[in-house]
Amino acid sequence: MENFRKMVEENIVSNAKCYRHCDEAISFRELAEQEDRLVGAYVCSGNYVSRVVYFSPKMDLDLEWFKKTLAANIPGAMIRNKEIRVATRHPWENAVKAEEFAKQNNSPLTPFITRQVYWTPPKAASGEDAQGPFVCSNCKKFFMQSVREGLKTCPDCRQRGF
Amino acid sequence: MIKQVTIVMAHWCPHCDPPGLEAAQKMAKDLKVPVRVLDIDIREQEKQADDVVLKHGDWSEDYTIPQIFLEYADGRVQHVFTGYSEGVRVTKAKLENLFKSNWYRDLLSNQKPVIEGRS
Repeated sequence: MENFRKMVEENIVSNAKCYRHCDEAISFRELAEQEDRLVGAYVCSGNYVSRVVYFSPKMDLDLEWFKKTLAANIPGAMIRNKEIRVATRHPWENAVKAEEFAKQNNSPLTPFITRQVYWTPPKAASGEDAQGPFVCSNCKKFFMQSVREGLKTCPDCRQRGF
Repeated sequence: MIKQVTIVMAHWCPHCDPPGLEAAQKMAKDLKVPVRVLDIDIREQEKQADDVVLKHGDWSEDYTIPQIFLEYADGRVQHVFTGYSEGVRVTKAKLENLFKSNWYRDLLSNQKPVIEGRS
């Protein structure tokens, strides 16, 4: 798993921008890791979660597990099938680097692939009540709040003075 | 032997047009085979696009585009690329990587010229 995580972090996790909430750069925050499963979120400087991504070295994906993980980590978020999308990442998309990685690690998969599942929250609407997922700066947990409000700490931490 | 490159796309999608479409066209040109464009906004092509993605690609209710496939003379279909939801810049960079890969170099060297009327 360590090799897989390293390969994902070095080759597939991307330096991109939020686009859904702002145009700021996003960073990847790990959420859950199990045997052959890695889940993380892309978060911008405003703490908005623009995508949650599940990586697996296996062709068969456990989408029900992913949906449960999302629901458990982002209470109140609406998880709908139409916002869950699958992608297969081949070693050739990462040029020679990932091809060499597959060779060095004697991957049992031929060809060595990574499957990626995105959960993209519905695009924040402009209305005052538009809710979106954010990550708390203090406890690092996810919470839903009005996109317009944009506070960086969750209600629990705010109540405790953070 | 590869007989065709297929791309499932939509012209409004910035990952598809131009980056995905140009990549599929370059692939077809390099392999000396035709490119089949399946536009999900054209009703007759949408069904074919759904079929290819369902059987050979990355299927989900509202699947990611573009998706690029290689179709072989023996009937095999190989998925080679799906766009990156992270951004157009990422999709472009990954397509550039694909063209620089050992896999692509080998693909071109293994492709034999298609003889008219035979597959």
